[in-house]
Amino acid sequence: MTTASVTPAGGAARGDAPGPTSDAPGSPAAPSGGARLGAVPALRVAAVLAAGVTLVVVLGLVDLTLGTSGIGAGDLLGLLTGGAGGEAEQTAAVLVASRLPRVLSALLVGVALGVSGAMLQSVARNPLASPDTLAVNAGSYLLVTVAAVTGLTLPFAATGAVAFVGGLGAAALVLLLSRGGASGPTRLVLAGSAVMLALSAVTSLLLLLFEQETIGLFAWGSGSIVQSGPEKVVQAAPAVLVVAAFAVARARRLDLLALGDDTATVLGLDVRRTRVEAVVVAVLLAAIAVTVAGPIGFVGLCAPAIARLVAPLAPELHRHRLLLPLAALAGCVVVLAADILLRTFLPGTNGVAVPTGVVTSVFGAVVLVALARRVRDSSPVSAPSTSRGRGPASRRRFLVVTSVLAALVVATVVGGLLLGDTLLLTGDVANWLSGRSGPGVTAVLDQRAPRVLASLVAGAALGLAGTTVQAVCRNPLAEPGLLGVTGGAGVGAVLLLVLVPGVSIWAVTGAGALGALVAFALVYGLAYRRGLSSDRLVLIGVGVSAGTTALVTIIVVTSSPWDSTLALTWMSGSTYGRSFAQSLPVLGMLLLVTPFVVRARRDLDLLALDEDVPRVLGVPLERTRLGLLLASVLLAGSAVSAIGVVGFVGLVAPHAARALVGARHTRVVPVALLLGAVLVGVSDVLGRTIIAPAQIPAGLVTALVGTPYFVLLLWRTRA
Amino acid sequence: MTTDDLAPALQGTALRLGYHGRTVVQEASLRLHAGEVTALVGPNGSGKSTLLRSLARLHRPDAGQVALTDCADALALSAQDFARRVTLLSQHRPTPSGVSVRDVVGYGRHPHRGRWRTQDPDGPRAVAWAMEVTGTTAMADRGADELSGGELQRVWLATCLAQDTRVLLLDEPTNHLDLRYQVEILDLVRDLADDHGVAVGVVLHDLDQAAAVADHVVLLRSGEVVGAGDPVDVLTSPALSETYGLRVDVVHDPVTGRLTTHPVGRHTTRTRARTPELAVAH
Repeated sequence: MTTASVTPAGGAARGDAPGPTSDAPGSPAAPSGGARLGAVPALRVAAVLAAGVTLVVVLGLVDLTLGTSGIGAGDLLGLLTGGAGGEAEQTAAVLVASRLPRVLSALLVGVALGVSGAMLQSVARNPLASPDTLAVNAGSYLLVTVAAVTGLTLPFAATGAVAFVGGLGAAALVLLLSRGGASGPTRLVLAGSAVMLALSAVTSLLLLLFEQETIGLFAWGSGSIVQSGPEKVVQAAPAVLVVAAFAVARARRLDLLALGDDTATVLGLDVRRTRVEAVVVAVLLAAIAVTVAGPIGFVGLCAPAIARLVAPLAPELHRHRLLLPLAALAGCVVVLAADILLRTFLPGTNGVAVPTGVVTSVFGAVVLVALARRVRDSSPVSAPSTSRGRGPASRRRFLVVTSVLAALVVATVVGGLLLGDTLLLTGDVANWLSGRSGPGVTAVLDQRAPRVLASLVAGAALGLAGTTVQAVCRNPLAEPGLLGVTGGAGVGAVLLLVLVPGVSIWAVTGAGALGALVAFALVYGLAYRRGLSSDRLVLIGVGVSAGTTALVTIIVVTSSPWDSTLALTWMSGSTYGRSFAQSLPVLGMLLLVTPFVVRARRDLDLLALDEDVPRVLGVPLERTRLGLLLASVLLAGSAVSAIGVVGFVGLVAPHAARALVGARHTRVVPVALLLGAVLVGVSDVLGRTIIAPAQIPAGLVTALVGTPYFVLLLWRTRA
Repeated sequence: MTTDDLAPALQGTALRLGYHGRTVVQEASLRLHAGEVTALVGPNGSGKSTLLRSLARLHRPDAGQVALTDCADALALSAQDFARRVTLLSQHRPTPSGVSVRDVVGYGRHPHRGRWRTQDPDGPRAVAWAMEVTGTTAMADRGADELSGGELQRVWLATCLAQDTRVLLLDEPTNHLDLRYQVEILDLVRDLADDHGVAVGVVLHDLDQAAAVADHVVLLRSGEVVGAGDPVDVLTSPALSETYGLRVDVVHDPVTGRLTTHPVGRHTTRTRARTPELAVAH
């Protein structure tokens, strides 16, 4: 059953039948505004909103009493009751210059990101959409980094301006590529994610290459609400309020949009214009937030999600006119609570070193996961179907694509052995193979060959894992990281790197694999309640992975900021210094798991449709899902442990495969696997050749190489 | 195919069904016999779909049993074994993208296929037959996402038929179809029961269709079975008027023996009164 369990009070009465039934007379009017609100629902709405406001006020006041200067609640009270003298003056100065701006910026960021994320999720009809999805944060981070690298020493206010321009520019690029979101929400979020990953890759690259110039930027990249004065907040506040008020005033249109493009059009809504307008407003809000506090991540995702999860308390809250303010409140709560947590548990300088954005991720993740556990099985089947492929492709096309990819794999192996800081000839390789090469060549190839193998098998594993996860989660933005694999492996590996300096790469690999498994067990365990619901899995997965990823940053920043390069390299995905032995687990996993996935290829076709079809056709749903998810975890976990985090492949390879050969997994599986191998393989070769003898981690090049190709594919298969 | 009236092909006994603790159907029992068509009718929200879905194991009953001829506890059967015996045309019919119509109908062979073999021996014949009787053969190579709602519905019906089960459950199979296919699908349902001995359970909103196609009618109201048996006995004016909260006249055509229902709305009498003289008087 797809009917929501609650009929919105005052809305059009719905029949028992989900979907378009012909018999229901249905009231022709759209759900009207709050006019028909009964007394009790209105009270409940007011109660929920009042509770939210109270919480924000309390948190705001508590946050005012916290800080590095040791001025506490008593001093502030004294100021309030008219205390005079130097001490009071000092208190007032701290309050005006630091505390108030900080709390205000928390509120501004919370409101801006909450509203922005709620709008984007509604437009995209995808709970994984957020300002980050449109590359706003990635764009601003990149431009600020570029400014730092090019030696522009900017005053603090100017950094904000640069961030604003970067954020808007990146979002404009995404909108351009997806034709302003007019060509459909799926295309918008996919193009956005790809651009976001590519820009982040460039940023990481710059951070790695220009370590000296960019000191401190790693932390800026996580966002901080700390302010050095009231100016920025004072400037930004009117903008946020005006834009947010505009958004709320126009919120009715989002209600209509939520009914589906067709229904909305019938009800007299210009769907394209509404979508573009909402996206532009959301981008503006996110860009202002970046200006104020840097790229604070995850608030834009979790605040609206929290608002939607709270909304069933009073069904009226599902209306965007109320949902947007609720999301704003949730955003404020998350940011303020994160700041309070940070200052309570990491007092002193550590509290300054750890960026707010990281703690918002952890706190937001915990709240999101706790609430998401209550998502019911029967929540409306969100059908943001997978990207529209090119329709059923011919068998010949499949064979051609597969052969070309296979040839490319061979070419990658050959190229990977010959290219690099030293150019070799095929004769050298032949000699090396027969054990007759000179010591120089032997040294180079002994070091190169394992890397080629590592990149190929890891790429293949990630491509395969991504295909499986996307089919099981039925969400085009799903990727293996969603199962907690990436974040879990990161926590495991970085924790070990930090705790035991100079530990062997083997131990790091093992710790990473262990972390991945633990994180997945957490995601699955929390999401399973009398069955697995895709919605619940996706929300909890995104919560756990955001939380663990933030934990990695906390570990790095608090333990040894000067080691951040090491962690950053690992997190960027690198094949540097890999031995054959390290690729073996991935290779073994690939050989072990691939047959299992191939065997389940038809199950994947059915799982990707909905919950009913596979069950009607005799797929043991829970067992198959768990098996396939576990397969992805093993594949992605081993790949991450071997070469670090390469996030792009798992997301993009399956989409590209579908665009090339249609949606049947009999064909998608081999193509995605080969695509993944080629993508990471080629990226690794490029990464250690272009700026040789310096090297770029393969994970970064993958995003750089893959994005243009992926955007091109999206462009060509547009409806 | 002989009809064995004693052992139902599929039966649900004392089923209690609900959503999140809210009971929707209480203590409903239903038997589907081989070679017979059983129609489930009733107002919106009366639990028809939920009851049908529980028989297909898509809705876990809070209490009660589901049994098949050869298996007393159908809930314990493996997913594949059950899917070889029972299928359901769901009301929610997803639109697969990137696959052809033939691929979608081929999904129906899923429970019959070994894991590794690419084809099952009966597969191509079953798929071809299913597409032929549903009138979807001509669209075999089109993309499933290019179809109209009615076409897609016939494709999913073909998928169910390709599954080649002894029990066929249909949730409003005619609701998106044009006049011709409404009639053809109901004819097909009758053929499946008469010629192939399939046990059919079908949710229908059109009472006339139910009366025309069904051997048995089950009338539901607020999750309770308020009438079950021969259409003529169940679909009576008092029972329908009570169930739908609206006056329903039932007319038996003396010539064809067909039963037709006439719901009486506020304007029905005026329409009837529009005789030629009155029309002139306007």
